[in-house]
Amino acid sequence: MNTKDYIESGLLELYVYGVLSPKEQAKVAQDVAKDPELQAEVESIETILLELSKATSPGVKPSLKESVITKLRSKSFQHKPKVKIMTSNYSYFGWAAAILLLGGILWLLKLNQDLQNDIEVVNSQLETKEVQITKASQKAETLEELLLQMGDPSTRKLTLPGNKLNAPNSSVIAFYTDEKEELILDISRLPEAPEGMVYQVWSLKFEPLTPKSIGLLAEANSTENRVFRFKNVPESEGFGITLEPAGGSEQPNLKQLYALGTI
Amino acid sequence: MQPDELILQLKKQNEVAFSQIYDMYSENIFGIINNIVKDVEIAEEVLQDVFIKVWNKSDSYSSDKGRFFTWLLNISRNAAIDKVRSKAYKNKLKNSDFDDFSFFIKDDMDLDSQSDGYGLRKFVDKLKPMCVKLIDLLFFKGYTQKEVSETLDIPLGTVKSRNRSCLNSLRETLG
Repeated sequence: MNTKDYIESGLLELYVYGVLSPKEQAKVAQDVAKDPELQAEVESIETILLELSKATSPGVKPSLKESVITKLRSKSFQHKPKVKIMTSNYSYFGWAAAILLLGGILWLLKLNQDLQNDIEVVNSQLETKEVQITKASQKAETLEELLLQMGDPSTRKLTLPGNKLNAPNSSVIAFYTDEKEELILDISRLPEAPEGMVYQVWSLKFEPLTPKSIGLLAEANSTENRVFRFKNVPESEGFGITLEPAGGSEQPNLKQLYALGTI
Repeated sequence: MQPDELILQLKKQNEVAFSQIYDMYSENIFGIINNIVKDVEIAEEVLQDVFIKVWNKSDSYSSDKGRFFTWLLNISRNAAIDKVRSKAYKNKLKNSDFDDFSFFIKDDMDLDSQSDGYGLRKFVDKLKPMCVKLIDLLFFKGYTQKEVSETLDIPLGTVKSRNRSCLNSLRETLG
């Protein structure tokens, strides 16, 4: 193909447009480089295309150039390394592991909480038991003391028979140790005092009859409210028990005499 | 004439050379981009992207493969087409009002602007409607001969010669 035909074919125009295949582009580039006439034609085509494309421009704002150059200078635009976000299976394993770990931590926290609660319950149970044990040992001590006192040779056992009117079938057992001024009363056979009333114990002296209050059977030291113990008991010739209003009375109400006995 | 010395300096990352090349080609490239994206604001974005690519990829240009202008054309058309395909672009422009570069003249007449359709009227007046379409698809949009033949329904073998005669009519009157 001679130069004139080459030019007339229209291949050079498409070459300048850049719409030929890469192979054709390279071939035309070679041909043009060898032939000054083709070279001149290409320049001429390019000139008209430059004019045409410039004519379609709505006008570039002068500020754009500065903006482009600023962007070039910022390092980020120069050979920006591509950061690839890892989405391999390993990352999923990572997430799964993280979730499992979180679940494990929550489970351990829950377990710890449960154990704390258990410990609290056990502690309060233990306290209750300790109180019970203390009470029981105190009771045992009291009983032991009572037993020792009852077995003391200087202790005298008295029976205070029940008053025929008020408590015909009852009686009260008394252990009196005059040396130690102590009195132990077993009232397990007396009827229970009605509400608002209380049994009062009196030390008696005869000729003339002189009652002296020893105490109330609700307040004195007792074992299960059955066995009562009194200290600092005055010298007595007998003991009486009357039912009195709560709080006790100055003088015994003899109409409410429940038990009476002499030494 | 191709600015071979400037191109060489550009490859060496010379900012002054870049600045001169920008001055030489920015309006041409802007025309090409605007003809594809059809929105001046978007075209400005693409223009900046194109020149950043020119700076970063100047190594890839070789005169053995073709003209520097052709290299610029390919970068510009590809960047503009990428933009048109992007979601952001589709959201901004739902549909286009025009088909080819001659649209800018009508637009200009409506606005009664002082310029004569960016100097385009003198070109378009010389061209037959088929020539406007041919040059638009091949030069501005970068269609291959086969694509043009299918789009305009003309024989593949005639695309080259028809395009030449269209371009010649411009060269004769303007050159």
